[in-house]
Amino acid sequence: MNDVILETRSLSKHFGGLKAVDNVDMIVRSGAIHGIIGPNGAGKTTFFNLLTGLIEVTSGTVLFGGNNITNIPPERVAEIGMSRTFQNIKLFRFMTVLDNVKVGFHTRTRTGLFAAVARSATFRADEDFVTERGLELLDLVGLRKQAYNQAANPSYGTQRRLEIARALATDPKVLLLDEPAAGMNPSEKSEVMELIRKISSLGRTIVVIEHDMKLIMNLCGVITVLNQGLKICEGTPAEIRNNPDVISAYLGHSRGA
Amino acid sequence: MIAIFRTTQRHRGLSILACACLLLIVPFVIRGNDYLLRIAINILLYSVLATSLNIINGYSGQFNIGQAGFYCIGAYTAAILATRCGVGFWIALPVSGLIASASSVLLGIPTARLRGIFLAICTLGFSEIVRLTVLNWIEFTRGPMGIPGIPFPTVLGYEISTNFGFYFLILAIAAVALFVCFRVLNSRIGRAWIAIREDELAAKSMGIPTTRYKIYNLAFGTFWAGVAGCFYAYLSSYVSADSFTLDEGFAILCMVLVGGPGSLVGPIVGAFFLVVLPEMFRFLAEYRLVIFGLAILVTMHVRPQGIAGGGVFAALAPEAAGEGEKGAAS
Amino acid sequence: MDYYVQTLVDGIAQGSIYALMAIGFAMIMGILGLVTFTHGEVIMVGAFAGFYALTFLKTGIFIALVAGFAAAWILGLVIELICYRRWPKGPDETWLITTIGVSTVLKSGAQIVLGTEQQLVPDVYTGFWTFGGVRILHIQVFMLAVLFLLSAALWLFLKKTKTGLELKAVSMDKTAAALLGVDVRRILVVGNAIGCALCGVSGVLLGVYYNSVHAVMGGSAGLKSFASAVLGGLTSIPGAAIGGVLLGIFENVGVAIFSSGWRDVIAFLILIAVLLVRPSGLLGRKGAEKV
Repeated sequence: MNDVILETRSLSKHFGGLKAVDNVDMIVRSGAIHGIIGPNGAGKTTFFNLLTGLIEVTSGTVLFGGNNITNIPPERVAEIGMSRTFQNIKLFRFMTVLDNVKVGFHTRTRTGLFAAVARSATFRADEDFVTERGLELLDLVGLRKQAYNQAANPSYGTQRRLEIARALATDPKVLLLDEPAAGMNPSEKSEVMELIRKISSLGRTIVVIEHDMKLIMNLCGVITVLNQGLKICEGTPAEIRNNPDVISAYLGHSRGA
Repeated sequence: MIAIFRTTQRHRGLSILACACLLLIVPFVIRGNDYLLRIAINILLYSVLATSLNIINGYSGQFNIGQAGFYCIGAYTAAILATRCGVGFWIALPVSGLIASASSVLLGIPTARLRGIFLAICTLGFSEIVRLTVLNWIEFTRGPMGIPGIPFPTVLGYEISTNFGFYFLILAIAAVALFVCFRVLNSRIGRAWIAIREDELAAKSMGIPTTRYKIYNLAFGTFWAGVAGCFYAYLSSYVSADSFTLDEGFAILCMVLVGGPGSLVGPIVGAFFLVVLPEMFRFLAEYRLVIFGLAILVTMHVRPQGIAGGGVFAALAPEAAGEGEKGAAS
Repeated sequence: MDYYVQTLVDGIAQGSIYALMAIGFAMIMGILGLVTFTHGEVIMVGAFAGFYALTFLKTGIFIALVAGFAAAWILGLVIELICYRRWPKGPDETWLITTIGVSTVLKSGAQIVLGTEQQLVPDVYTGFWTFGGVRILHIQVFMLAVLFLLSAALWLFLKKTKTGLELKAVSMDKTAAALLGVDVRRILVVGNAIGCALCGVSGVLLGVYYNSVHAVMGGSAGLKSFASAVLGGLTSIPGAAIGGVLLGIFENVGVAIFSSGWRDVIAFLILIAVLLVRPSGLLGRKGAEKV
C-alpha cells in the first residue's frame, strides 16, 4: 500500500449544539482517488472546510504527510500542497479565465513591488512561467480557447473545470473536489470523470465529494460515507454498495431509528 | 463614448502618445492664462488622488472613504519638513508618501478584516481623527493657523514658482504614478488584489495571505495620496486642516465612482469631469458637492460601472485582449 | 462624588438620544438588512423640522417631535425610492454608494439652503431638580420618557400588528417571507421609514437639548448612531438602546477626563474597539458563516 498523505483523527466541528462533523477518522493514501459521499447535510463540505482551514476545528487533528496542520490558515494549506474547489463556484468573475489560473500560481512566484515596476528578470521569469503553465493547465481541462474570456461568462460546467485548473495551479499534492459534477448533464459528467482520472494519473491524490453514485463508484478506490456528521463506513465501492448502514442512511433513516 | 474607449484600447501605444503630446502642448497654448493653468493643475492633482483611491476601492475592493486623511498627512509632512527641517522637494516627496503609507498600515492592521460600511466608517473616522489631531496638536502643526511659507520647489536647479512650472511638475508626478500603478496592477501583486476583491475566501484558498495583501494594498494606494499631499503643500505654499475635510474625501471618492472604479483611465476621466463641471458653471460653484452627490446617484442609476468602466474588464488585461484577438485569428 | 454622579446623569440623558438613533439604525441595518450612510442627514433633517416647528410655528415640543417624525418619514420614503428600489438584493456596496450620494447632496444642500451658522433653538422645559450637588434637568427626564414611550410603541408594533410580524419574517429570511405571501418591498419601505422617523425624533431632541441645530450636525450624529448600534449588536433593538445609553455614558466620562474637543474621537475609538473585540456587539446574534 502507498503512504498515508492525509489523515484526520477524531476530527469534530460543533456549531453550538449541532455536531456538523463528529469524531471522523479518515486516511487518504497517496495517489488514491478517495470519495466522500453522504446525504444532504451530512457534513461533507464542513469536513473540507476543516481540512483547508477555512473554519476552526472544535477538536481532533488533521495530519498532512505526517505533519499536524490542524487549524493552520487556508493560505498556508495551499502553500504546503492541498488545494480545493468549491461547491458553490467561487471564481474571480471579473478576471479572464487565464488570470484566474494565474492567481493560483501565487505561492509559486516571487515578484515583489520593485521587480514588478522595473520588470526585472524575476518578473519576466515569473510571468513567462505563469502564462506558459497556466495555458498548459487550461489545455488539460480543455479551456485553452477561452483563455482570454471573462471568467463569469462561460457555462456552469466550464466554470467548474476552470476551478479545477485554478486549484491545480497551486501544485497540490492533494486536490479536494467539492461536487465537481454538480449540475452537469451526462456527457459533461463523463468528461469530468475523464479529467479526474487524467489528473490522478499525473500523480496527484484526489479527494472528491459527489452526489452522483455512478460517478463515484466508477472513479474511486476507497469511499468514506458520512451521515449526520458521523463516519458510518469506509471501503471499496463494492463494500459500500452492500453496506446496510449506507442503504438505510440513503433511504432517509438515521442510524438507530 | 464606448467606441472611443474601444479604439483607444486597440491602439494603446498610439493613444498614449497622442495624450502625452496633447498634455505637453496644452500648457504652451494657455500659458498666459493662469486661471486655465490652475484648472489643468487641479485636474492632474485630482487624477493622482483619485488613482490612489482607486487602487484601494477599485482594485482590492476595500471601501475607503477617508482618503483625505492620508492626503492631509502627506501635505503636513511636506510642510513641516520644508519649513522646519529645510528639506528639499525631492526628499519631501517620497517621505510624505511613506509617512502616509505608514499611517495607513497603522489603520489597516486592526481594520483589515472589516468590510463594506464597517470599513468605510472606520476610514471616515480615521480621516476625522487626523484632521482633529492637526487642529489640536498646536506645538507641532500650529493648529488652526496652518503652516505658511512653504518655499518653492527646486527642480534640476530651476526654482518652480509659476503655474506653468507646477503644471509640468504635477504632470511628471501623475505620469510616474500611473506608470507604476499600471505595472504593479499587471503583476502577481495586482492579480492578488483583484482576486481579493472578487472573492476573498477563494483568494485565501489559492494561497494569498489576504490580510497582508489588503494592508499592502492600502499602503500602496495611500502612498500616492501622500505624494499628492506633498505637491499640494508646495503648490499652495500654505497648508491648513480646512483643506482636508471629509468633503474633500467624498470629492475624491466621487471621482473614482463616476469615472469608473477598477480601471486606470476611470479616475482620470472622473477627475476631469468633476473639476471642469463646477468651473463651467461658475454660478454653481457653491453647489460643488451637491453636484458631486448627484453625479454619484446619476452614475449608479444610468451607468453603474462608471463613465470609463466596464471597462473594468478590458482595462485590466489590455495585453491579454490583444493576444486574445490573435488567438482567435489563428 | 457629586461630580461623577452628575457626569453619569448627563451621560444617560445624552445616551437616551443616541439610543433612539441607534434603534432607528438597527431597524434599517439589522432588521431589514439594508446598508445606510444617510443616517446622520436624516437626523439633521428631523432636527430642522423640529426647530422650524418650535420657532416659526411656535408649536409646543410635542408637535415639534411629530414634525421631526413626519419629515424624517417622508425623507425615508424618498431614500428608499432613490437608493434601494432598483437594487432590492444589494450588493451592500451599491447601497453604500447610493446612500453616500444622497447623504452628500443633503448635507451640502442643507448648508446652502439653511446656512452654515448654528441656529438657536428655544428652550423647552428649563426647570430642574437638585439632589445634593446633582442637578437633573426636566428636559433630561423628558428625553428618557420619549425613549421609553417610542421603544414601547415599537415593541407593540412588532409584536401585535400584522405589518410588524411580517417585518420580523423579512428580517429572518427575505426569500421565505416572499414565498409566504409577504410583500417584501412594502415591508422594506415601511421599515426604512420607521427607522428614519425614529432618527428624526432623536434629531429634534438633540436640537432641543443642545439649544442648537446646524446643517453639518449629521456627520457626528451619524457616527454616534452607528457606534451605538454596533455596540449593541446591530441586529437587536434592545441592544441598540443599551448601546446608545452606554455610549452616552462613556462619552461624558471621556470628556470629563480629556477635553470636549475629543468627543467624537471617543465614540470612534469605542466603535473600533467593539469591531475588533466583539464584532457581534453586546446582544447581537452571531451570523452563521456559510463558506
